Amino acid sequence: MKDNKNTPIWLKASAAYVSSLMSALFIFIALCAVDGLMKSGPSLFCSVWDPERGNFGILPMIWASGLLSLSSLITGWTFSVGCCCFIHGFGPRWAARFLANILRIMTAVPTVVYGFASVFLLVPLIRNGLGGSGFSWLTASIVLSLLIMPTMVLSMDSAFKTIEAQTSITSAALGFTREQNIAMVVLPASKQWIWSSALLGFGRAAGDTLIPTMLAGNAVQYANTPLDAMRTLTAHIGLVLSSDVGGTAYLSLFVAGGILLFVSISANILFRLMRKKIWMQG
Amino acid sequence: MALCAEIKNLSVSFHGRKAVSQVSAELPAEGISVLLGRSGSGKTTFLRALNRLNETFQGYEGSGKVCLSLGGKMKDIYSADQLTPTDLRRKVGMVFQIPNPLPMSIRRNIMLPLQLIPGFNRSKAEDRMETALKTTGLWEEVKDRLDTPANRFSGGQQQRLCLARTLALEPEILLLDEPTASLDKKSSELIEDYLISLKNRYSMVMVSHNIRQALKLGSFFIFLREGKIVTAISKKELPEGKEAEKIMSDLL
Repeated sequence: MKDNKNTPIWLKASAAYVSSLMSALFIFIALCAVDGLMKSGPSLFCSVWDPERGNFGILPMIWASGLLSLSSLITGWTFSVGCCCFIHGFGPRWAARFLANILRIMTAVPTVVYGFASVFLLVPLIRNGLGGSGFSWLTASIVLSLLIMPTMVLSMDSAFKTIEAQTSITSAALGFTREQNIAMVVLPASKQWIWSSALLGFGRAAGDTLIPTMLAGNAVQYANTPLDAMRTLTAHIGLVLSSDVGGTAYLSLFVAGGILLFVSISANILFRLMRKKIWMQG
Repeated sequence: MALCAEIKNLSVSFHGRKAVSQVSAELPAEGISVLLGRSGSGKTTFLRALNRLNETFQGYEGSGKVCLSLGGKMKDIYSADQLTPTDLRRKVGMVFQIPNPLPMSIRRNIMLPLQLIPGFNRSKAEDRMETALKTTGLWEEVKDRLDTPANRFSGGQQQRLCLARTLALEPEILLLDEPTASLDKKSSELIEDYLISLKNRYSMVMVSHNIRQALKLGSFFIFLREGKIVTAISKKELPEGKEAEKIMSDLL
């Protein structure tokens, strides 16, 4: 960035404020995580969470976070690509507009509403229909995939819109139908945007706390079937913090937080690199 | 005189605003017919009525009759039982003002439209691609780079690619919407030469606002103003040389 003498002082001040706050956060988490690692050591990477006996295992939570975010991402992303194709030519115009508006409204719905509605509607459905307690990997994954869809669809949609605007007349003049243009021209040309929106969705899915806390059951175990309960890293941090803990258990949470931060930053950097590549090519 | 197009009472409007109103004309099958007029005179809309491209835009409303000579017969292209718009657009090819390769390789730009024709086989498509690229003088320049993205090439090369892509579909009529307007002088002349060499094989309708180009290429001229035809003259009725240019610019 170039140094501009005309930059107002308040702008410089807020920039400095935000960046120092962010770096303080990173340093704080890193220091505490190192402290946690030193104190709890190898017991962190076992499967038992029993702070009173000195077992601070967070492996089941890491497993749960990975499983839940990836499964939600796969369903959410697939449906997002489908929604985008539907909006841009495979659906009738009124239905396309309706769907686009619903997705836009969905971005404004607070997460807690999804959780709350699911506890009363989806959980009993799964409990009665498939068995188990209803608070499970499956339940959380369904709702989480819905939650991350609008972000992904809107990001793909902007790419679709640009490319469709550039190509629709051309391909019509070459005898393509609108559907063929989407499938053969727009979809391949927006490939990188579609992948990068998956990273965006992954970041949201891995970081969400409320949905897994409310719907995944929170049992510290390795969930092996979709009907098993699980506890994600985010839910774990939230739950342990809301009870009264101190000492090593408290510090071990920073290791969990550090892992989350690392994963979401990596996804973010990857996302930015892909965008940059797209700009360079464009 | 054999005709390639017969237009009767054509009116086209977008969102209620008239672009072309009550236009009737007969275009000869021989040579290049040129549509002339200032910006906003309706020439592009007139041209796009011939391959039903207007109706892909929002707010389109149209009336009137357009018959084109296809497969040796005059066909009413707007009547439902004759041709689907996609079939029509393959037979009535179009080249646009700004080179518009699709975001893919040269090869795919030409092959994809062919592959979408039901029952078209691939080896035949390869042949057609080669022939079309040779016709527009591009083959020698790109034969080793067929899988390079089309947008890496120069504007003139891209425009010749677009022409080749249209020719590969083996159209019967070519529509050209100011095909040289966005090119430099040298590339324009190259395109003009190819168009001249093609004019015995295809009926062509071209939009232009360049009188010199119109006189060089065209044999029949239609002048439009505010969506209506002002006059139509053939080249034979015009005097030679500078005088013709003066008459034409007075009509514009």
